[in-house]
Amino acid sequence: MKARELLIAISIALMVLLLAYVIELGGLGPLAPYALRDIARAYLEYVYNPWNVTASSMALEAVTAIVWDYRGLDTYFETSVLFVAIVGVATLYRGYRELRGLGGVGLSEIVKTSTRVLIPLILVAGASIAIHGHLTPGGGFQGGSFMAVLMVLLVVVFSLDYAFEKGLTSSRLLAIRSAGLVGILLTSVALLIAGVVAGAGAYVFQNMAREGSDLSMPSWFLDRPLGGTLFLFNVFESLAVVSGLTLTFIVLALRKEEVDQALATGEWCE
Amino acid sequence: MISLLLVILGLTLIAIGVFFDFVGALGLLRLPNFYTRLHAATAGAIGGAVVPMLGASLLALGAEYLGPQRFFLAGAAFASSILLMILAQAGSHALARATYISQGAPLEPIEYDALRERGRGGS
Repeated sequence: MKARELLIAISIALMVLLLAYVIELGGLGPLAPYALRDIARAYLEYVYNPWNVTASSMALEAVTAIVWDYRGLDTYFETSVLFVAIVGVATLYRGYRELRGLGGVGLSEIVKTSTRVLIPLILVAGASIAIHGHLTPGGGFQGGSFMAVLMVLLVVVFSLDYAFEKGLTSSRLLAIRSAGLVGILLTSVALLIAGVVAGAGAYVFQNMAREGSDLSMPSWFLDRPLGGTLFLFNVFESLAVVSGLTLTFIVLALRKEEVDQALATGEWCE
Repeated sequence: MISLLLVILGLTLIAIGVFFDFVGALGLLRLPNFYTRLHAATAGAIGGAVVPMLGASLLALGAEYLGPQRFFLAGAAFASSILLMILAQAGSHALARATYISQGAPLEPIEYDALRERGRGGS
């Protein structure tokens, strides 16, 4: 047994060493290819291009520009899928009541104090990831998930009672979630509505001025690039994600007394 | 001169961190029950991550060839080390307390159980 363990240890160490040696010699080829593919080069050239606005989204972050501008419709349906999933979770537990005063006290004072230190940091970091999504890596979904972690921490550390007391009720969360989705919908057709009203040509999911349409979202905020719809999409998406994920977690964390009635009445619960 | 001092100090802190990591790994393998192993893991987290990260921040401050970038490195390392110092102990405490209350791990070998007299897992 001893010899076998030794053999395993030596072989693992040898594997790591030899693999490192092979990679160092370039035996697996360059890990990051040196040459950009044409499509990547085109996106990099057009993402922020004030001299060719009709093909640009005027944002500094290529990933966000592709996700919310060049393939915005796809991302819209991704968000809808997430919404449908959350509605599904809420439907499974339909008829539950949120009870106060079940005696949840949360974790100990040490953990609570450490979490209190952490709360503003997580909130600021998540908000900045979402709001700066068109400038730095990140975006609405990432920032929203970041803030949802904070809500999960609140529920776990301070108990569900505390969360309900602070106003994290499921109806309110669902309302915020729907507001975020409506905001995304309105942002995507905002220029179309403006075009119809003004009698000019416009497209769905239009961001900057395109061929055949001079309408444009604002591309600068003071001295910062704004990315037009990207900024709005990120803000609304982060709202939708933080409320949706929090709602899911709260529903999954419900106590027995709260789901008893929903489970007992069965399928036909009014 | 001052940068050489910073580099020496940073390398010393990193060496201390290596020692703590080694002790933590040894304790994780050799100590008898869950709580003592958790203690070893926390020694590895505080002594083996917070201290060397402080060392890395000093090291970055002393490395003048990095240019102005070194201040970003130093600041990030310092902030993460302080955050980890606040959070690692809270995580270990929560784990140990939850395990004690739910009796999820055997207490033996144990000399004296102060928490039993206080009723529930303390605060």
